[in-house]
Amino acid sequence: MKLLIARVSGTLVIAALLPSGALAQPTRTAQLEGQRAERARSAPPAPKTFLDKIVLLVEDKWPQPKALAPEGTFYPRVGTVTVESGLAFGGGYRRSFANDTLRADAYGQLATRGYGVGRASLSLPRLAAHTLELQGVARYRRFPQEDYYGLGPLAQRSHRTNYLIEETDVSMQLAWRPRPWLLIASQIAWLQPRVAGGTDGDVASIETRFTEATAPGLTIPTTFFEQGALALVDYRDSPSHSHSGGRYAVYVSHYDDRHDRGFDFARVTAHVEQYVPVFDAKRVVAFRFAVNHAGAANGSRVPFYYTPTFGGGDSMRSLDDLRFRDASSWILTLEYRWEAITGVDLAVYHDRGGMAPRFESLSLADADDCVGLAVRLTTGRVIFARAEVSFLGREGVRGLIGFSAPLKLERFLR
Amino acid sequence: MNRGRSFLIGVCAGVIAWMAEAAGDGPRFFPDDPIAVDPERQDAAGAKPRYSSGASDILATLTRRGTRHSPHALNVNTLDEVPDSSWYSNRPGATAVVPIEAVVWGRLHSGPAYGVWTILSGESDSARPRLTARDANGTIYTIKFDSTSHPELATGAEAISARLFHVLGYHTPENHLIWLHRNDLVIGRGAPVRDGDDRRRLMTPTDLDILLSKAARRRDGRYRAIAVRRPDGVDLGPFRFAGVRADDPNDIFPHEHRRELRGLRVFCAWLNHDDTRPMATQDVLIEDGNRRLVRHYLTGFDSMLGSGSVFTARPRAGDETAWVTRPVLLTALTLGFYVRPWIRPTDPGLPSVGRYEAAFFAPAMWQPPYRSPAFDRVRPDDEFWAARRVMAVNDAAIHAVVAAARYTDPLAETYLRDTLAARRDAIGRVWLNTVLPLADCRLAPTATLTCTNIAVEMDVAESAGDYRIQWYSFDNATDSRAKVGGESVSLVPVFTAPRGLMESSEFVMAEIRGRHPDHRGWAHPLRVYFRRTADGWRSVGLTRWSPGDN
Repeated sequence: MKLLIARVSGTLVIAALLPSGALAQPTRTAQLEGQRAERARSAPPAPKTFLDKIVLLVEDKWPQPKALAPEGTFYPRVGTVTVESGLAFGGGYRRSFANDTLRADAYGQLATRGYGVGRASLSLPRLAAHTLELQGVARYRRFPQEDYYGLGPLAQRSHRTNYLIEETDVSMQLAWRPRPWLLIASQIAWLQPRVAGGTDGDVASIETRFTEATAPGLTIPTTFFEQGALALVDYRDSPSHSHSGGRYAVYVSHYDDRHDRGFDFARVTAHVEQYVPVFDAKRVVAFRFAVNHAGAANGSRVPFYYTPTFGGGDSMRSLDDLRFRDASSWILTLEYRWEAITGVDLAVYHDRGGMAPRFESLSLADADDCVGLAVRLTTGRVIFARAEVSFLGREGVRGLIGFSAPLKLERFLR
Repeated sequence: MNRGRSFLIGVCAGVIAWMAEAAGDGPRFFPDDPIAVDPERQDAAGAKPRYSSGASDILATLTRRGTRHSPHALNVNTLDEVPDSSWYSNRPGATAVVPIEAVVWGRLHSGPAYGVWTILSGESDSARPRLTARDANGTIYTIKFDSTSHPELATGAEAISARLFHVLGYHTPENHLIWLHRNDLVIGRGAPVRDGDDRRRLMTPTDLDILLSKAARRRDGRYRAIAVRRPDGVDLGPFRFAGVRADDPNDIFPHEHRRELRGLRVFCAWLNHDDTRPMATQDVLIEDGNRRLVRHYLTGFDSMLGSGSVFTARPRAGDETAWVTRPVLLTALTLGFYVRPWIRPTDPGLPSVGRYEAAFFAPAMWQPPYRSPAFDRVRPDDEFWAARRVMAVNDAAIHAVVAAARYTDPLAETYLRDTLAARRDAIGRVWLNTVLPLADCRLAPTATLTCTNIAVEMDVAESAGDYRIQWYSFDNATDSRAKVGGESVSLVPVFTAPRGLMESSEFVMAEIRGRHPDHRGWAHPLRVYFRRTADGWRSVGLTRWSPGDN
């Protein structure tokens, strides 16, 4: 009996020393409350993996969007300057005034292969109830390794050279968008191009193989005054990854040689693009037809660096970029795309096109052809990467990797 | 043995008892089991808002997979039910017939005040125009319009889906359909707008005109919109479907093991909720007496049923995850001419309904495009729990919910009512039969155990087959059992306990197995536990065995 009393008294001593309620009849509620109290006392559970840490960092530290955008913002620019320019890095600064009635924007970008571009603009983007925009632009670009094979469809691949073009232009544009799908614009621009030998040591420089006769404008610098007008109808469902709708553009411009050195010319571009969904928009037939023509007045010539080009990822895909140049060119594309899985499209395509020294010499029969296969990565609304292989072209099999949608339309407004 | 040594033994016994209790090695059933409310009494004042965007959503979805195993849901009570909590609330009619008033926000607010709305912010570039505005009483709402191409589609889907998720037990922001004139909207001082260049600046009347130009307008000049009441409290950003929230001490159950988040998959299948990203959720810090509590909301109901928000739901919606090998290869190799079966269902041709159908709906095949760790852990017992709640939404409740969407086209209302009911029944046929569908078991003093076969009661299974039962006496303190008598068979879920068992035991346990020629899931055992009380035998425990359980 005494032993029992001793055991009980020992237990009671412990009961007295422990937190109150520790030996009370337990309940589920008390158990859960205890777990939560312990959780409140202890440090929060640490992320287990590096990726978890990154996610937590993004969630916890990323600034919440501010109520209003700051009037002035620095921003980075990473990408490319033009085709085969190499990766380009740069940055810019934009600032808005008077509740975004007036905008200023300036940026610069340098690419690994020495390409560079700088642009500054001042715009009134919201005139006439947001339908009218007036913009002034000053731009500089330096492309030091542009390919040139000579003019005409017979330019030899072995005649490949490279040249440098620097261009400074100042332009004024007025763009009217009365409907979301309709744009009518005009622009005037003052352009000062400069051409010199290319910097790509692996390819001959242009002056070693071509002369003023075979590369008009190579040795005669001049300045241009451009007047252009654009009409654009664009009702594609998603501009960077279209499944339905179309885009039709006509751009007409005249280049006036301000030094009267024989380079007055006019340029016309017509572009028709149509997308037809098959069954449920996971299958699309895409059609594109484009004609480019640059015609000089009597006694004048078109500088080689402004002549229409033929070949490349947005033209005849079996040919290298800038492979051919001539006064006139056309390209027809028929493409069938289908979605294999979300985020991946496959495509087969047929490109057909040609070029000629005169517009009336263009022939649908005498043309280059190629067929190809493509894999494209998409976000649903945007094609952000593509790999394409073209076959049966006159220069054999050619593959390309790009980071934008195919069938890109030339940018007319500067 | 001397007294000192005995005292020491007593001390050790006390410590061991306390440690055992602290470690949770208590009895299987506590006196307050089954709990109806999960006690979340810690102050969550330290909870901080966190950033969310589409990119962070994808990152979190890819990286936060939760634990790999799939145990029984951790937050259920001993009757395998979900207690009320900051996540879930058992509404009236959770497992029986849903009263109609529950689907029209019953006891909640009466809706926006009549009068002028003061705009606090807007998004003129959003494909689906939306505003944040204050009504005449000062209550803040998000006002969402339909796109011009699909009048009534998104607002109808949101009106219906939010009400149904509310009925099913989730916290959802209250919404109300409203009809507005342009003159009913006044731009508040300093109201920002996000414009076409993704810039936030002060809103102008032109911005409002642009925004409204993208909204469907009725012939009488008014805009139909849905006003979603902003939950009271501080917006903390979305919750995740895995892990716990580090700054909420009440959040102790990993989300992937919460019953209501696993079972959400069933509700999403019913309502074709294909946008189950964290972005469609919201944590809100609320005042609850003298402490703060994180309440967890489901939001973003405009991409449900046949709505893809701006357009009709894509054929993929709800029928396939992003990667499924065989269909992908077939599609790739046949130039896309291989048509997946789920593409075949056609649009019913009702613009305000979109693409929502029941003829091809296969509940078990339904997949959200975004993988959720909670959905990946779902078990048959979770699905049974959810399916039972879906089946509780009877035709009258569905009619009331669809009527709340105020469709102009009576055909739209009829079609949706029929389709919701048909999909509900399809869910019942599948997920009420993957386990033994007995519930509501009662042990009478006369030693008669009566259970309800939910599948038979809901008319989604024939009452064919039989039931086998084995009785046990149960020792709650040691969680051990002793077989009493042999196995008996019954054609109906009514059983009689062996003589003497009820007189000699404080706890009684029965293990029941079913047998049905069409439903193999009935063979998985169900254990029910009863405790002797002054009023008779009280049901305190229920465990459903699922395939793969030991």
